[in-house]
Amino acid sequence: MVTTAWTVEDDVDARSGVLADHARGVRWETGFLTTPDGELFVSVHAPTSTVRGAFVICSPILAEAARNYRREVELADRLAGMGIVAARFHHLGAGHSDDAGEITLDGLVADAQMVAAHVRERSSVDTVGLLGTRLGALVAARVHQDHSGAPVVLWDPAVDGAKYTRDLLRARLMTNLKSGATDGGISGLKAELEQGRTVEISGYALTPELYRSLKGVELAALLGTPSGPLSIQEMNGAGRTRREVEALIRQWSAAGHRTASAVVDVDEPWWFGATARMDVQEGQTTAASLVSATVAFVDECLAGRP
Amino acid sequence: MSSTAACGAGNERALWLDGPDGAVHGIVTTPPNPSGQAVLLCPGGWFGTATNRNRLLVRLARRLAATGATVLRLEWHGIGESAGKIDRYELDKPFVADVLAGLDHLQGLDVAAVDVIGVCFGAHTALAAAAEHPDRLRSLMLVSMPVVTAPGGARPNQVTTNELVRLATKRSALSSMADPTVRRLYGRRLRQRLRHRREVRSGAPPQRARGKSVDPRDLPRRLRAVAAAGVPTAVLFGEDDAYYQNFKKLLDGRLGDLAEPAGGLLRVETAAGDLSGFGSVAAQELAIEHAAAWVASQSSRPVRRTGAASEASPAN
Repeated sequence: MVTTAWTVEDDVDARSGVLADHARGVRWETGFLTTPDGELFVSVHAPTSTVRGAFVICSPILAEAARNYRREVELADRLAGMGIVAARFHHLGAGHSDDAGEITLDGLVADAQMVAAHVRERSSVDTVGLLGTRLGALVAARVHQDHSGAPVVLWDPAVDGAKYTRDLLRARLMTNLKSGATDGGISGLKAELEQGRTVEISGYALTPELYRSLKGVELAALLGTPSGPLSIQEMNGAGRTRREVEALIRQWSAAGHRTASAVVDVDEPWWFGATARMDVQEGQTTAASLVSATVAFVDECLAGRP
Repeated sequence: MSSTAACGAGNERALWLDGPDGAVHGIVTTPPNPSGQAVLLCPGGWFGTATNRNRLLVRLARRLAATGATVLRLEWHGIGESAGKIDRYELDKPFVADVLAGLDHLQGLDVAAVDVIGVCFGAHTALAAAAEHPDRLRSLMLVSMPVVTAPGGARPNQVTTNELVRLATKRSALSSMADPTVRRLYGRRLRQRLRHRREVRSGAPPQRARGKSVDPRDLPRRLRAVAAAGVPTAVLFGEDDAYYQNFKKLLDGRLGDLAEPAGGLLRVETAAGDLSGFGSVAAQELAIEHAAAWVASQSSRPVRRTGAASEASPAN
């Protein structure tokens, strides 16, 4: 667990930090990965002995990233404890990584592919499992095409670009209620983006480039032909599984792959209370069930249990 | 003054620092042309990672490093990449040990002086550390610091129940609420506010304010301790920040003798709009501009004798 006694290790190199938990045989290393487009901040949790597999965790972006941060840390730590190298990273243009022009879906995918290649090389595994949350699920789905047969885990995935964008614009409408700004509703905001203007949402920029890159994008199409185990954890207060998710699970099950799905009770929408503080408050509940379910699924996949 | 050179991730390194509550993670930005100045950035509680909202602190760190400062941005134990665990942030329990770990690291480098900037919860924590160890830093800047004088007091970005009800009668709001999801979210917010009001009226500490209460004597006492030790301090608020009104009351009363021009030790700066939570890109830019100007103004100040650095680093 993240709370166990860690030892700050001497530097692996001049730009990385390392923590070690010798009792559990786990290392946690943060640093920067050089790519053709800039340097990516990467955090790798790894076992110190035998490697059973590897995972890349594709985070949500904008305000949603903060909300999910600690859950991903907890998950990566748990995975490392069971022999799996787990890498998290900040996309170019976000977090500690370099700036590299406007964020687009293709750029996000390229970042994840770089990290997956790095992890594959480092851990000497053939394929890398993917976990993605919200928009990160679209990224994970696309990268999974390069890692056929490896497990895919999706947390509250964006099922298509249009619905995801609409969620963001709704957040803008809500946050602007107080100021009385007239946005012309969802259609007015979409018109702004269509005309090449950035729409600001709670201090983050939804750029026309990102908006355009998400048009016509669907999770099912990105995942492609069923290949490998699939787990989808929905997060909402209604206890409801979306029909797009049900269809995916049915499709992958019918193709003979291991599947799992569940709904985690989270009543607060992603963009409200989308803060590290909310992450802390939710940590004991949401993170625990999400992480436990995911760890159990991955363990079963790697053990080859039915 | 060193020349300006662009800084990015290529100028940075990641590290963990030992701390009693768990190893604290940070990113050090090393300037291409070091001036000998160092800056410690303490993040807020809402976005407690070392990036803060929309990577505000990343942008600030790289901006400061471009002008010669070595910058360390921390994230509190239990948050982001740091080890440890926290249940909540409480203003009366600032993470002083985390700040001291950051100061220890910077003062072990080849720097002459450390200036500290804290935002929101980080401002309270930086102030608490400075009040206890004023010899460890040269100057202090407190950005959008929560000034809560009673449990359940005004918080930034908080729409009152009456405001929320009134909003629903505005044409702009009605237009937005044509969307069913927005309507549902509005209803949820209204129910939360009504519950909060019932709690306040019943005398129970409101659920969401419990972690935000602070002894009303702490802030003046700490500011006075820092001033008494001769640490130049700037406080920055947005003119529309809810906490700014509370702070002005303190200035009009118990802290009046400290404020410029009377005492000259406490500089109060304001920026247009609402800086709390840095909920707009414009607010973020304003905060960066003010912080960069403050750091630049400190570079010409004499170096204070500092605890850990005093033996190693000559004054510049």
